[in-house]
Amino acid sequence: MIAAIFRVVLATTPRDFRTAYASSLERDFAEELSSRPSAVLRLGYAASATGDLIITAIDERTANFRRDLAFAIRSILKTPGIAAVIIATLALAIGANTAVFSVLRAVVLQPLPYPDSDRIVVLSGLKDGAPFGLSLPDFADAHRATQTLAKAAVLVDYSEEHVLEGHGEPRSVTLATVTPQYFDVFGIPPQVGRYFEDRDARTGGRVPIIVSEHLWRTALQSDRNVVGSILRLEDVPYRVVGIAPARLSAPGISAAHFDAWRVMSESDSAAGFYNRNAHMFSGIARLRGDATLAGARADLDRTFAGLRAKYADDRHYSVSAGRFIDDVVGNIRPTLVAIFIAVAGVLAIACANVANLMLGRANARERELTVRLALGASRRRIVTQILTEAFAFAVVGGTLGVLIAIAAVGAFVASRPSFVPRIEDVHVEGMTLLYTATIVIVTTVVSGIVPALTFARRDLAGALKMSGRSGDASAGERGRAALVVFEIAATLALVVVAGLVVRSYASLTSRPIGFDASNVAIVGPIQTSGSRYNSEERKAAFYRKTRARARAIPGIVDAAWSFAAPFVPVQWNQSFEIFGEPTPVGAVPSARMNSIDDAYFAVLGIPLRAGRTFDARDRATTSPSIVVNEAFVRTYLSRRAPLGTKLLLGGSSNRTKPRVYATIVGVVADARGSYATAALPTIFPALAQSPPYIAELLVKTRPGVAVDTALANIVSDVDPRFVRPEIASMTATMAQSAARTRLTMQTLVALAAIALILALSGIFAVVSYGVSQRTREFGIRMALGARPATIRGDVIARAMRVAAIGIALGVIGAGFASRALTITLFDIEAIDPITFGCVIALVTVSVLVAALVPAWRATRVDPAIALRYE
Amino acid sequence: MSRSEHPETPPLSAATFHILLALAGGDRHGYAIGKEVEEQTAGAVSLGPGTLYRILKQLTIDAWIAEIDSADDEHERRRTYRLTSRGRAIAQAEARRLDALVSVARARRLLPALAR
Repeated sequence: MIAAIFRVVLATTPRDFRTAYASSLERDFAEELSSRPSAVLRLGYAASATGDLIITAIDERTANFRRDLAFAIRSILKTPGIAAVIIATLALAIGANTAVFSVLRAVVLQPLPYPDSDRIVVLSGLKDGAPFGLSLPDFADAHRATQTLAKAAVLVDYSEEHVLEGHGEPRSVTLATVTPQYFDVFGIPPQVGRYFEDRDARTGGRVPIIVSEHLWRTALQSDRNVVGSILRLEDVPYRVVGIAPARLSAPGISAAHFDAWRVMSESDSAAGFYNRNAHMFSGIARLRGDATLAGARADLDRTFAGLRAKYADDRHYSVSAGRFIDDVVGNIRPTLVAIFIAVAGVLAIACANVANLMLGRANARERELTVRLALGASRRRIVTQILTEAFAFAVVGGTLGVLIAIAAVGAFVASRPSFVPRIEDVHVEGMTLLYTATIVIVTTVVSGIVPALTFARRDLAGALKMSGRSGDASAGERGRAALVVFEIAATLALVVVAGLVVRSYASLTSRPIGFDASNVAIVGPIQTSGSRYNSEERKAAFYRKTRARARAIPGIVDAAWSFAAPFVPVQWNQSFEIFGEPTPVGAVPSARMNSIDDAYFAVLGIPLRAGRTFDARDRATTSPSIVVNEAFVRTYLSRRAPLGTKLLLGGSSNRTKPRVYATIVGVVADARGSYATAALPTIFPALAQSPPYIAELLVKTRPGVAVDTALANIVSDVDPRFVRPEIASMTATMAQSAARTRLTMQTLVALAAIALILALSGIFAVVSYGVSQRTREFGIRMALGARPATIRGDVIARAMRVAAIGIALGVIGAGFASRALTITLFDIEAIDPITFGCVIALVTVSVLVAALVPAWRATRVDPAIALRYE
Repeated sequence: MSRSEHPETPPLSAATFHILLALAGGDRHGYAIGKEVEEQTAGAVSLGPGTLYRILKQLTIDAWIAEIDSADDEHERRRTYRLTSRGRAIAQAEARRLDALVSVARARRLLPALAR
């Protein structure tokens, strides 16, 4: 029994130790044991001897590793140039992977910070299958009828900006409007006070409001007594009932940060909320009990089928339900996943390159390794030795990589990319480091295994006989060629993907947008609300006065107010009827609305196609005039003359406002509202006749004139209670709208460039090595009269044969990769022949160039010298 | 002087020196070395079997001792060790180093002076 334990421990010692001393140890142990007179003494000796053996086993095992490591570091230091290249390659690749993973983890992989957050679903309205917004009555009916939704609420699709006064500096507050159960959906308790209750929607008097933790902390000094008090936003008093925790200010279903939420009350009927045709809501709900998302979808489809049968107004409407997390990160997920795959590809290429360099180093040390083999080092020891070296490289590279990642992630987060949700959660932390550690291990194995196995298989006697210089290195050479094939294939796929995204971005941003964005600045948005602007006259007067001031600024050519400037993400859809045409029931036509003043088309350089734009004739007192765009005419007025046609805005089912017909006085050319979508049918009402509650001032300046400082004051000059407006150039706003595609493009291009450089250095190293191995052969051939061109051709042909295999495999890989990428591409076919052709040409030429230098060197060999080497 | 002869040799560990001392008295196999060490230290130093063979392995690699064939056992050959000339030199150097230390200790009256 005692001896058995001793033998088990003995088995844990390294093999070389065991082979040499196991029998001696066992015999000594038995002899010593039998010399003890009593069982107690025997047991005491057995325990101490076994303990001693355990320590010996640990010492022996780590001694091997420590020796290998010390040896690895010494041999790394012997070739500092190659070592530096290897470490830099790994640091960049591991750093890039660490950085991308930390973004992917925080933004995409991490669940939302609510209990059972995967049971929260978002409800979106559809019209004929396209996103259109829910109506409140439809939502209420559906919530009542379904068995699958527990708490559910809707939120108005637009938020309002109000000025908060009396709490330090006046500041702008983003106010959302929600139904009472909104906060209950998320399942986290309020910071202070309470959330809304169903009765809040019915009580008259002060409207209840919930304030965000951020506003409470920054403007209200975290005062708990705020709850129960009255908060004035402009002139409207609200009753504060609770403070929402910080987690709830995060991008919600409208991807906006809210400062406060007010409950939708029945007095809001004036706003037209309780109207089956008012499709201006998004819904959010928690699944009931054990209901599944699929079950909820089926349930909602059934309910909406009933609504469509019951209400003529609902004939074209339905609802879609999706996970909340998809709503928050759905847009960015394919982009980040694509970048993650690309960066993993770069790591694979980097590993191949490092393996290649290590093989090169090992070739140079061939004699040393061979001598060690001959002196009795086991092949396993040599393999362990090479893997230890790979491990040392990976650990140093990984450590530097983490530092690179921390810097890169810090810079990325500091740039506050607006298209990345949850960016505030992104940092390099424990989970990321665990991932990096895994990469380091994988890198060790991947970059070490090819050189290690190549050496383990090498024919010892042959290598020694050939004195290691012109020895048979064909196994090594084949291994290196295989690595280069892989590098070229992966690089080609990566360059193709980057090329597709570049083409896509170029095509996206070079689309004719239909207006002249140069030298145009956007001031605002400015919101005119509260009692100071409670009439259309007062609003119109404000717009008139501020515009006059803007126009008086030297350097400004013209200025125009507009409800929704192009590339500003604001939407206002309005249903309408055409006078004299029967409107099909349930198919009320609708169009984008954009209230503008008379200079709008001039400022943006949008040409007039027929009729006139607005002028002094279009006043509040005259009958309403409207201008429409060509898309509107194509869609709705193809069978009649547009000029003089009268439209009933709001449609016949809007009974809250008097029926007013507006007359089309002009038709303008189409202009895009964003890069991604074509020009939509649009109605332009005259700002003087229907001044909106919110608008932006578009300013056309003379080239090279800075007017921002002068513009910053025009609003407060007219009304000192306004906060300073934001000012942005039109071109910057447009660039912002393409920022996600641009960042994807820049990242992929950078990764593709790194991959190409790595692959070319791989080719270069392999061809150079091949040439150095064949020095003698070239010398003999040239001595026998071979022309240099023939030799050069021979070297290049060898390189191109390897490259051709890589390119062929790469084209196949690129085909799969780009097919997966199609969803994020604009206008480009996944198998785009131009991109593929260009990339194949680029890679071929690059390989040619990389092979040219060693090929040239091959013909510079002096035959006499080459032969003397032997 | 002794340091310059073997510049790569740091002061030896106690266990190593005891083993070299045991072998200075003649060739021995592993078990006997262990016993000898115990005897020459009056039981104060007892080497565990793992420790003993680990040191013997290292000393063999460093060529301070050598394995020799021995015929003192009819059935199985035991691994028997002999001090090499290199090992002897190192043991001497260590002894001199310790001797020098002891002289210092005497000069400082930590030990009684030697009788002349």
